Amino acid sequence: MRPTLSRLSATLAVIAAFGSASCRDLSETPFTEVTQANFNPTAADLAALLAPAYTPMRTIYMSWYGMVDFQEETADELLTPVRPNGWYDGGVYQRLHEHRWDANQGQPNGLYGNLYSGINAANRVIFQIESGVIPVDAATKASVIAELRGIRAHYYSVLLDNFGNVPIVTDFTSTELPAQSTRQQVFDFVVKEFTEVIPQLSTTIGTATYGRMTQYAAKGILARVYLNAGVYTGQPQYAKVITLTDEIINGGKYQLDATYRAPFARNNDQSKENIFAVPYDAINGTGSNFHMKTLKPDLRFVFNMQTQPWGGSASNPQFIDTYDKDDGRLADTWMMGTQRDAQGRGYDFVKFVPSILKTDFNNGFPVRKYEIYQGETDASDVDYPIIRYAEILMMKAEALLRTGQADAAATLVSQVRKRNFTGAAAAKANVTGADLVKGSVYNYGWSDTDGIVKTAAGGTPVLNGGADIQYGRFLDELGWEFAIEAHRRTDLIRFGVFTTKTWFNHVPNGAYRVLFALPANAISTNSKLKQNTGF
Amino acid sequence: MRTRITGCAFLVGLLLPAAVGAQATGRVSGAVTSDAGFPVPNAQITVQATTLRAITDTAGRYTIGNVPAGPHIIRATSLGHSPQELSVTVSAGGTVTADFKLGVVAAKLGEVVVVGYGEQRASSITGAVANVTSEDFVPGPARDAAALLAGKVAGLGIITSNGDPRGSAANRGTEIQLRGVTTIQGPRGPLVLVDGVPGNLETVPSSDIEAISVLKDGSAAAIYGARASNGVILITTKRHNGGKPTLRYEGYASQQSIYNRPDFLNAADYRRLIAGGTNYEDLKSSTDWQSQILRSPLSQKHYVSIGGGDVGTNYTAALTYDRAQGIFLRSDNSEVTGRAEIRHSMFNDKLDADLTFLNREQNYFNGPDFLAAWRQALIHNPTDQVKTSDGAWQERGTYMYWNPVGMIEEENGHVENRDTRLHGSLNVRPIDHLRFSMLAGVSRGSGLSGSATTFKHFQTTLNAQNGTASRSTSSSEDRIFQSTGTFSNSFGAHNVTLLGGYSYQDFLNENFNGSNTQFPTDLFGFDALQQGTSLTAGKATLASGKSSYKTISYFSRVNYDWRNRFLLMASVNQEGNSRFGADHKWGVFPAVSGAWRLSEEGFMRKFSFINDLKVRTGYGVTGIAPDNSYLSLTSYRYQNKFLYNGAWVQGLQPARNPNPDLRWEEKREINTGIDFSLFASRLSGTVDVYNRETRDMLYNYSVPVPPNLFNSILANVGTMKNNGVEAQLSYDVVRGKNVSWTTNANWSTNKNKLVSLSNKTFSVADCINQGGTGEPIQTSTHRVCVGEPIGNFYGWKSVDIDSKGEWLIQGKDSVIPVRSAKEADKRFLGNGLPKQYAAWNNNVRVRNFDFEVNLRGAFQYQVLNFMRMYYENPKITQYNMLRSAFDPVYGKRPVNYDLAYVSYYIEDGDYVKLDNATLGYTISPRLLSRFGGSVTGARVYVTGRNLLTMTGYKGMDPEVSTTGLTPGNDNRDQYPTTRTFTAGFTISF
Repeated sequence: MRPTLSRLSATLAVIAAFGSASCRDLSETPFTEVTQANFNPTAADLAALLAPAYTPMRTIYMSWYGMVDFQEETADELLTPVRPNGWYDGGVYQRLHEHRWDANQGQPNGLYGNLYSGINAANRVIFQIESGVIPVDAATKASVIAELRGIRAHYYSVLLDNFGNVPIVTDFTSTELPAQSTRQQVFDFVVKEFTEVIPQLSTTIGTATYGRMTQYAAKGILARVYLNAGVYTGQPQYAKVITLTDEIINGGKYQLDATYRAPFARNNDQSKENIFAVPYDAINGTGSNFHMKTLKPDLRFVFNMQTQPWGGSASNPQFIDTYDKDDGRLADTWMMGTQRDAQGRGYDFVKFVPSILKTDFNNGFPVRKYEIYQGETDASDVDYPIIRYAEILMMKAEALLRTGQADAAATLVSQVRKRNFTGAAAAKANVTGADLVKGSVYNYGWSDTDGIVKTAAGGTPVLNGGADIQYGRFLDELGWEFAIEAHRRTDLIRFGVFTTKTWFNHVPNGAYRVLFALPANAISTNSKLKQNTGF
Repeated sequence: MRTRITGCAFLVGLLLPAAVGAQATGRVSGAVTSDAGFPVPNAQITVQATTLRAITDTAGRYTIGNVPAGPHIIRATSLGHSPQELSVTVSAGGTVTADFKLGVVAAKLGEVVVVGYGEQRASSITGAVANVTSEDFVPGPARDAAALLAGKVAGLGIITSNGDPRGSAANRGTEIQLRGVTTIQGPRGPLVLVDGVPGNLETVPSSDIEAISVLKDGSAAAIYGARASNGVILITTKRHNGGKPTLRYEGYASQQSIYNRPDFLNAADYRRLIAGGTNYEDLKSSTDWQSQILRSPLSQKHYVSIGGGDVGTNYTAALTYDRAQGIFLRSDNSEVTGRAEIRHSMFNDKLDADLTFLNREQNYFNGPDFLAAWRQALIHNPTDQVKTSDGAWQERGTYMYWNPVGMIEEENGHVENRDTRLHGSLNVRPIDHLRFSMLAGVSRGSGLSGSATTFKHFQTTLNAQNGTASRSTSSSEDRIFQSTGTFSNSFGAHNVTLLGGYSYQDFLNENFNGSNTQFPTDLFGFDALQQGTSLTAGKATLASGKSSYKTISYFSRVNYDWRNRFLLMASVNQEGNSRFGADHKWGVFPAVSGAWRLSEEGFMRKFSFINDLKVRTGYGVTGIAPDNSYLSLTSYRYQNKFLYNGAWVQGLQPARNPNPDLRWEEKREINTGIDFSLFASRLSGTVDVYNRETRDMLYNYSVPVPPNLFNSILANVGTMKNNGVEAQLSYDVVRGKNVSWTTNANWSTNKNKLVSLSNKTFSVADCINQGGTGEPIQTSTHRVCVGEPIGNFYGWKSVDIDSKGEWLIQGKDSVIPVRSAKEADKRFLGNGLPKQYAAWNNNVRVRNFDFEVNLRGAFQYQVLNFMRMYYENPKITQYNMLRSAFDPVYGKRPVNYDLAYVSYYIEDGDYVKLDNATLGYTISPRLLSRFGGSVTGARVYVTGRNLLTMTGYKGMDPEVSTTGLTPGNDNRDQYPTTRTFTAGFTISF
């Protein structure tokens, strides 16, 4: 009896000890993720690996807090006033309008993060290809690396425009805190990268390269960087703008679409005008929800939507006043007047907006430029054109105008205007060099609660607050053509308006506002970064 | 690995020998009564110097067989009674009688308390351990184990902040917080063990629970290593120990009602205000929307347990049916739990085995988010109608505005959860003083749920969805293997107990879910998901997932005492968790504690009023692990499609910032306490002082991108301190035969300070804003700053209102209007963590009547009243509002400004609650004997819960969530608390 039990307990002790020794393994194997251990990429995985370099663009442009939103809200075309259902949101939109943003402003901070996420992904795939982790043939290797460097340069060009003095990181393996570069260094880097990779980029256009960094996309973005070189470096580079835009024009691959709406239609992947676009899809490529921010709640009945739009952003009445009433772009860009369903649900939109602090749903026009279609969900199908042929023509025109060739510029501007003036108004499409050197028709000043533009709240009425702007009329042309295309902030800065003029409830708040603050998080996590001047 | 573990346990099973011994023996039998003459059930009878023992039945009787012939000392012990020993001489084949009459003691110093991997007498415990036995539980209905303890343990905060009957304890808002906020982002729940097996607060029905012990300090909890920082709760279930078969029934029915209805405007108010010029819309009807969705629900619970067998083989089985209804229409929850335990002992108790089986099935209504429906009922226009003339739900299309009755009636859903647990243990005592135990088992959980909206739901009438439906299923498996060895012996005045052990536990979770919309009919609900078209159109979701982790621990402990006068405990646990990073898989968690029982010293003898006096102190290190797997791994996942050559392909991108250095969050705690029992144990109490420091605190730290992939990483960086005092006092005011009155009170206070949130690699700003007011105010409510406590409200301090009805704010230098207030004008506005908690419990017995009253309170803290912040503003006339919206603010005029977060809405939360009052009547044994003696006990009682809240707070209930970084937010959409009246009946045979 007793020996039996002793033997048993001895056995138990041995088992316990053995079990202990053999059951110490604490390694983890995830079931739904790929680890180095279970992934051996081949050339067929290239698309999947390339994806993260491109997909941040969906968040950058048409999504919540995206570029289309705050590059316009900080400027003079678009407002997000307080609505009956909210839209105060701790003053985030008012801070953009009033140029009071700081290092904690969500929109630019989100942009900064998304840009570096894309840069990181590009760096990673470049590293994976160069180090042979992804086995590809030499030709593919050269073209894919060129494409990734082009994408990366595009991201840096946006950083250059919005933040200026940012770190340049190209080595995925580096674990060092990245050092800050000056705006000039970032400009030089972007120019160098584009210049080096352009010859290796694809000149094929169509389905195979849709949404991808082609030679034309790279040239267009580089031309845009040169157009703003004066702002970035103090040294304008208009000759280079003309060279690059001419190369695209002479290449003959693109043309203006027949209508102004075509580049923004639901099927705008068919556009002959769009050179570089972000493909969005209601199912596969979700993220485009700017329509949710601008459409008012009851418009869901009008458009039979499967969701209730949020109803914030609308037009600045002062900008609406600049349009020629015969310009087709007015109605193509803004949703005006009565918008109701058969049961009468909807709104009668009016131009008047009383104040950034208080409005009704029908004050100001929602944006309809990006096609609003029946049955739309909270993710739009419309692709976002980062750069289109009209901009190539207008960039060349501006470079010509600024280098004393106003008449040649006017020819290009008339070419862009042509499709927007029809019937009896057709002749209005033509502008002259003399027109383009005039000031702006935009009546800059304080838009008081009575709808009258004044020198300040309750001040004297203003008659033409834009007459003193050099090439102001050309700026107006840019406004009409590129409204709500994430251009306006950059254009106003280039024309010296952004930090000098008053519009709606905005008054100038410092010349340093041409840049956003580096995000507080970026500063607090990287001791090598110095905040932009003024913040 | 998994199979190897099973193998280990299986092998042991095979090795069980079958052997029987025979010897010249006799029997000891007798009865145990209290000195008042009542039978004492569950008393433990031991034959000293042998392992023979028995437990008295409900009539207080026992029999021990196989007692070797010769003289023996028989000892009887029972909770709440002083032990007694009798000498008997057993003759071979004979039966000797030993009857005991035990004195009642109020003090609990003699009781046996379950501690980590073992049990100890209360008098020898060196750490801070609280033990609550069933007679001291909060009486009346209890949905989970936490409800039994509310107000009973100093320093253990238990909040049930909502009345939702559905789902898990977490869903019902049950929060347990031990000794303040010790973690900012780590898991917050305590480790719960049911008879030594990890489980949760609702694993066993409350009626099955015999005792709950709470390991409060680090030295007591450290044996559970990296799972123990939030405290350890050890639940011991009731078990029959053999003898006369018993049957016990407990049942109750209860009715619930909303405790405090928010006072919103009614239709008459609307019309009066419209006449006065307020811009409301009169929709020509009259509806009390709150009443439309509220009801006074009935709940019931029935519990039957049986037990029987003999000392060698015995069984306990219980069946519980618990059906609860909520105060909102259709909200319900029903649970059926069956539990069975078989114990078997052989070879003169040298080997015993125990098998426990538990099956729980839970069903509840899976309808709409009731908080959303409640908000809709509050804000709905009281002049509107519920249905249109053609019978459809009246919808208006206003932003975020849906018919609350339609939301509830047109969404049909069901959740069914099953929990099956099978555990076996084996104890071997090969020689005296040595014991080996092994425990193995598996718990399986599965859930199946579905939910669908009809064509009359607003998702279809407003959002053109043509029906929505979803299904989901989940399964979890948790396997455990544990082995321990205990050696216990006395060498003269030296008593030593050694414990060593190994514990392994793994967890596997899987889930699958699908949804669809655009159905041709709403007839089939969620039973035919494939009939909708959105899934194939890519507009609905289909997903599955799977994850696992495991923990392994080696532990040992030594308890030493000299003449039960000087006591020492030291333990060490090496614990590993697969969730830790590669270089930190294993942590070491040591603990040491000691006590000096002054009352055993000769020089204390002259203080004859001192029955027991003990001072103790201890230090222990515990941890908590991250609550997600794979965080330390470099891995990629497929997501975010990309248009490549005309086709959308899945992108492959990094899953996270891997943190190979990820490890446990560590808490180091020093606890010093004193336990005393005075004046014939009439007055007893405990005072504890603790100081806990949490280091390597888990937090999602911001990191730069690049070089990192994402802008945050879960890392171990910060440090936080908590210190506090707890006191518990119990006094027998009256100790009569017919009348007794016991009163006890407890009190605790805690101070919290965030010491740091940064190191060389990771840093965050000195202050982080936390919490959100929600749409449309959209600002943060709290600010956490290094050097400050958790829980500070941060915003604009309103001091007055101007003639236009706009807030005046205390700016940096002067009072400014709110519209020019800046971020820099914000300041600390109070703190949401109560500085003090107190509870006072009274139990009075007069003959067969007993009466218990529990009062509980929290003091010195503030609450942000979201309901007032949102609904006490007459400016937003599209939604209904509180009647108080038209009261003058600061004695001047109502607000005429947009919704804003200002200090006017922050109120003192101090409260005292009459938590429970119970009146019971125990039917006397004399009366019961008329039923032929088969009835051994019967009791009837009525209980009222949450009867009265004494507070200056204007919201529904000041007892709001105090966990996390945003304590004190009384959220706008808060499930209302309820008052419950219960009548119950208990009978045992």
